[in-house]
Amino acid sequence: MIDFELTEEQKALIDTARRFAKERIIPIAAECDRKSEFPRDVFKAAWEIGLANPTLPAEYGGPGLGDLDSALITEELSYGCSGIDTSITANTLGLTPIKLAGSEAQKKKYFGWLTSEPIQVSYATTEPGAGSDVAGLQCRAVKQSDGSYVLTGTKAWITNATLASFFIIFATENPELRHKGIGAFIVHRDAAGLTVGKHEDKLGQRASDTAQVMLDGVHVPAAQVLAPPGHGFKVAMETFNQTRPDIGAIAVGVMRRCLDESVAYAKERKTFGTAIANHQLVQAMLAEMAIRIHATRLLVHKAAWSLDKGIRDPLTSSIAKAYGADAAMQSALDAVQIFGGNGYVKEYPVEKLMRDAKILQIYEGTAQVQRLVIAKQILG
Amino acid sequence: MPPARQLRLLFGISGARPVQPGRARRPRVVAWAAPAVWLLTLSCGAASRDFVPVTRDVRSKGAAASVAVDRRDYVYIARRPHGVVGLVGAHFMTAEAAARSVDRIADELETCARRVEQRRELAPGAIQLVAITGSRGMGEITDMKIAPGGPVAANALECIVAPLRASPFPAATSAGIPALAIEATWGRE
Repeated sequence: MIDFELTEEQKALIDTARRFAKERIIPIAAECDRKSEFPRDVFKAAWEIGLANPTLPAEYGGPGLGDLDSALITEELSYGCSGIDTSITANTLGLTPIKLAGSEAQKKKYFGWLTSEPIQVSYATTEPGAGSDVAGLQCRAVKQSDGSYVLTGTKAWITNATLASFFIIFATENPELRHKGIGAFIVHRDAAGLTVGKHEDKLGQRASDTAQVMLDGVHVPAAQVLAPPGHGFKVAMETFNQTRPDIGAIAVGVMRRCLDESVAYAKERKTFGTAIANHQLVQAMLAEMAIRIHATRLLVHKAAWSLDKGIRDPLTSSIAKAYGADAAMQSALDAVQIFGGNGYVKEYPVEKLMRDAKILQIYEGTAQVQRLVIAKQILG
Repeated sequence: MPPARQLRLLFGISGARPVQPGRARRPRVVAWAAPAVWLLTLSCGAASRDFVPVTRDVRSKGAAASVAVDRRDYVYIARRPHGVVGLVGAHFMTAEAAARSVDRIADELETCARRVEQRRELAPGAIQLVAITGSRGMGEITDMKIAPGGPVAANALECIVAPLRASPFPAATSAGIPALAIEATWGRE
């Protein structure tokens, strides 16, 4: 049986997240974008009302929500600003490896930390020379006689790097082993040898925090080894499988905003003696934007529903991410087109939406990598 | 108006003789069994996820109308300065365990309501829900209705739903899954 009806709790979540986006995110989004600054007070407020770390299990004090619930929240927050949402949602990316591979002690410690304080966590696989090619990462993990590890290397484009209290760092015992050499480690921000580089001055999603993380002989106690070398790659891939629907949900939020702004503008702006909403070519663009929203949302909900049911469905996860990212980019381009000259200036919101949408085709696996993943699933 | 009175008006329940905290009377099984079992049976089944009896639907009935059509009593009421939690009924739980759960929910509500009030985000609100023992032994909500308006949904999620989800529930037995039906209100003078 197929059931698209949301529960009362899910409706309440949407209501809460929508209100939060309207009252706390939208009023400051343009300023945060201009300053390239993440509003920590917004994160704290989101954490207080349970909109941050939604999938953190209830038995560890978290909201204990499902992946579909998380996608619903993400869509609403992204409607407000996908940059601010990305930094909030990055916590889910950071806590998922612990959910998947953490020991009971690690779950108690780090989930307890995440529920007792509004802290942020970073997930770090990407390196200057290894983005989508996770197996090609070079950051080294050298095992010590007491079971601890020493990490040395550089991580790049790390969301929340400047803000994180701890990091999930992926490193390899031997780069030649490719995916078979990768492990996952929990590294505290104050660990000796860990430094955070300069804040990246990005094209879009400028309100999210992004920076390099340098590891120079960072000692990781055995208790903070999340997955020993040889087991980390699987954790990284499964994490992406579980968080990709959220990227699709961000895309839906961006597209909804594009459509709402475009509809409002098209009804106001007049050419040839009538509102541009009455021109059929404009109507076609609006209709296409609506089609993309509905199609992406269905994919996202299917992918998230599968995760909640324990059904492994990386194909739908990848399709949701790939289609959603491309759809958001196209909708943002169309929104700028509908706004005309006004779409090209910062006085109106759609140029930001266009800049923000682009990264969706790049992070958490580029549009091209998603196609490879999809093709692999199809070809077997 | 006292919170308990507000609660009864909001959910269409009059004539209750609320038990003072610490002076719990023995639950009157017969009085609440019919509506509670009805509610619990329907809500615990897979077929009707969001079922709530029409006469108790705060979204569709005005308070006065509800009072006129629905007179019922609570099994147990836990009152705190910022809120009231009423136990409509429990299934596969002892009366004592159900009352303890209600007290715990009321304590959590009170703590949370104070915190939210400090943030100036507390709005008068009400909720009715059914919670069961989830697969991980914690509370899991199967049915819920939240009074409309303002930031009520956010208050409900933060102060009732989230604590319930994080609370251990009695383990399920071969007899059935423990379930609890409650109504709560908060933030009223």
